[in-house]
Amino acid sequence: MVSNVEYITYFILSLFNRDSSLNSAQLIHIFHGRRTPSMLFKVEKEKLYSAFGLFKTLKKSTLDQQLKKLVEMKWIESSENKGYKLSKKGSEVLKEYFLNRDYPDKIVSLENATIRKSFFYQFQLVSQIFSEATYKNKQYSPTIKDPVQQVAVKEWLTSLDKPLLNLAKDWSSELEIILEKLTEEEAMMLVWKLTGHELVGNTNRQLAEILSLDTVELYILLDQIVEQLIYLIDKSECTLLKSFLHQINENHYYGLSKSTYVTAVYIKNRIKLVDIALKRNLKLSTIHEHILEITLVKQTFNIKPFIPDEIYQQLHYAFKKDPYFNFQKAKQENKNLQFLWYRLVEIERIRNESINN
Amino acid sequence: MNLSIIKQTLEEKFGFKAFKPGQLEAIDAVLHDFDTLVMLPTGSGKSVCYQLPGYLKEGLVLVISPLLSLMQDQVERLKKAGERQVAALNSLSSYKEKKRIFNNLNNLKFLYVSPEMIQYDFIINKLVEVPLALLVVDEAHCISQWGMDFRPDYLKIGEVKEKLNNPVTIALTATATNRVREEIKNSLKMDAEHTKEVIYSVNRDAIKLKVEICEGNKKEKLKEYVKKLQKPGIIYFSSKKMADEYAQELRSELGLLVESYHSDILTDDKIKIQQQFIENSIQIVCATSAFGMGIDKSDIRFVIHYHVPSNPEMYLQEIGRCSRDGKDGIAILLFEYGDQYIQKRLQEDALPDKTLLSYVYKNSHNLKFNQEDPKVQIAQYYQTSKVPLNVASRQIEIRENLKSDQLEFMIQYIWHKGCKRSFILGYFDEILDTTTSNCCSSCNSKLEQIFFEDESISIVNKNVDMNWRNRLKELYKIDDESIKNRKI
Repeated sequence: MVSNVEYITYFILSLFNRDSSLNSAQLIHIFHGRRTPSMLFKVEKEKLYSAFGLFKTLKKSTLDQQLKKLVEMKWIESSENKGYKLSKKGSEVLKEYFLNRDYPDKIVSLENATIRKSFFYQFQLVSQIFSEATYKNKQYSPTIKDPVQQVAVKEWLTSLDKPLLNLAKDWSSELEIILEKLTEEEAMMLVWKLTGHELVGNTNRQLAEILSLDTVELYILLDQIVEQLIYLIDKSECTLLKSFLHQINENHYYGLSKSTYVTAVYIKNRIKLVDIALKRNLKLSTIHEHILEITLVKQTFNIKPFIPDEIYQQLHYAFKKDPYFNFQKAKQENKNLQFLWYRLVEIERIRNESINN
Repeated sequence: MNLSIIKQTLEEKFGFKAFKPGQLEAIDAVLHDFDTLVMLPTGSGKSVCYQLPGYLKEGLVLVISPLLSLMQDQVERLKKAGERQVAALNSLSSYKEKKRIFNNLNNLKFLYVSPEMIQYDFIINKLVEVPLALLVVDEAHCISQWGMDFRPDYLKIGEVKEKLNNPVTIALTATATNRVREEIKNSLKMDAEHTKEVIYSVNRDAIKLKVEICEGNKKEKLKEYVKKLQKPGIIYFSSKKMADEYAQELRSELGLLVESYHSDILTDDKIKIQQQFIENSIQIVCATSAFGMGIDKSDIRFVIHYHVPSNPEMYLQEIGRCSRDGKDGIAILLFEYGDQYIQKRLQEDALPDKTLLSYVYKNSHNLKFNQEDPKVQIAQYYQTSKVPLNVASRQIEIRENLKSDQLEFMIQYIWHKGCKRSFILGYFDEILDTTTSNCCSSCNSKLEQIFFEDESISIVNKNVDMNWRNRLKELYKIDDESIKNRKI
């Protein structure tokens, strides 16, 4: 381990592996959360969920400087397509660095990638509103100033149609139940971010100092905690928190892009793909891309209805037989093979493999 | 309008019993339907000058404001004071929000609009349908090419005023020279007969001015001052990196409660820093010029500039955050030979040169609109506004010369041996009538010592109980009784 190297450098290093290459353009798209099917697929294949949409304002030049540093230290090495692979040395460095430090691996899907930021903003705002309501104070300055988040929270509160004080009691008791399911440190980070009546929450830097963490590390861990919070709320019996999560999901098209969400609704209503394309005045290939996005974002989405049975079996068999099986080869075997079918089976195989591993 | 009604409104809506200098004159002029140009120093309550007559006149108060943060701050303050009929229309407003605003336009009392938004015809068309009580141009110096924050969009407000059927207009600024004030009046088509001017000195006696010439010991000087001066205070830097580094050093070496504040800090953390500073859990903020807008903290005792500011207007605005409670405070400018080149370099990086400007004009169709480089953004602005290339080029040249002159003035201020206050007021065409005691470092070379604090007062880092359960109890007043009554 090199002492003057910051956490961010190790984190970026951890996104590379020994088998497949990753280039700077792909990585910046991943950090910016670019939602093309190929980028989402790359994230799924390399399990880069934690990095997806993490640094939306990171400049490519800054990332390139980091990569240059990694190359100079011989922690990554150039590979095909101007990409890089983790070197043997890099792999050892990573192992050592994360030996006594939690690696952020609690985000295991793309499901909440577009939701987390808004969820946390609104979570902080609602927590403050209820805290102030508990103390019967109406004259306070909201900690979240973004009018979009404020309007969303206002709409949710209006939809509940109950006195704020009663809601505040439910919110605090439900929140306590959920927080007990996190580790002490995770619950502490979350609660100390909150602002309430005569209490101002901590900044990331302040929390990082208290916990002896790097500020970027804290930022990444916080994102992981928010993911867990969403998961725990979703699986809980906490009515108010679930209603809050539901509203955010609804406003964010359940983690899909808007157009894909519209297609998903048609699919749910059992409309054929060709008819969806016609109704929406879109190409069939665009609808196929929507299906790929749904598959990549929603891990429980059933892909079978979109692939002929026979093709499904053939593709699985071919993948099993040849570890280097690719779309070109598949196309040689079957000229009528659609890319959608190939990719859907490929995603399923990747997921099955990671479960087996 | 009866004075008692005005005073009653002041107390009811703003919670004040008396007017600050200049407020009543401005309010009276507006209530008598005069276009009004108001220049009052920072922290003197300019908002009251339009908000109060706004309440007393029928119709909507339309406020053009140049900064999103400023707009949000004003909206929030009005809401906090109980005003529900207030909204902001800017690039952050969602489609839903805009629709809500337009549907509710007749009921709104205050509408804050960005200068870009007000250019759209469909917005003007909506606005002409409602009675306007007042058109407000906040930070009106942005109109002037001679002002520090020239905004080309502001130049079109005069046209907007005409399209809105010339409502009574009030233009507000804290720092404007004679030349800037003339340009504001011309641009807003304020004729001499129907216009009143409420001009107060930019001088703030309570803020004592000190310049410290350093010779390779600027860092040590800073630490010495920070250690000894009464707090809270602000230290301005021209780089984000230095703001971070010095905040860290002051925390670790002096054990002070210090945070850095600049555009790279996360939005919600910025708010937390502001709130912590206001409630005194932070003693010092190491900031770039991003800090200060909307910070209403009355007891700031010092403002130190680690780097020379680019112009006197900005300097006065930044030191104007000090001593708003009327008690004395000190503004210290630390200078080391060569500092001016940092500012010069920043200036060179701020405006597009002729080559870049021509390139953007010729290749506009190939350039994406959201360019990262601010120089390209400025060139694109001129191009999309259809300003001829030679005119744009000339305007940029004028700006460059102006910026250079302003910086030169700051350097002269630093080296000036006579009264600093008198010298800086000269820039705003003001003459200092009477000097107060301990006016500046030329009048009293040991000025800073008056502001040194009793050593026994210095605050030490507190040990905070980080138990999350206790914090949650505090947040929601959870006690044994409330736990017993829980449904789940």
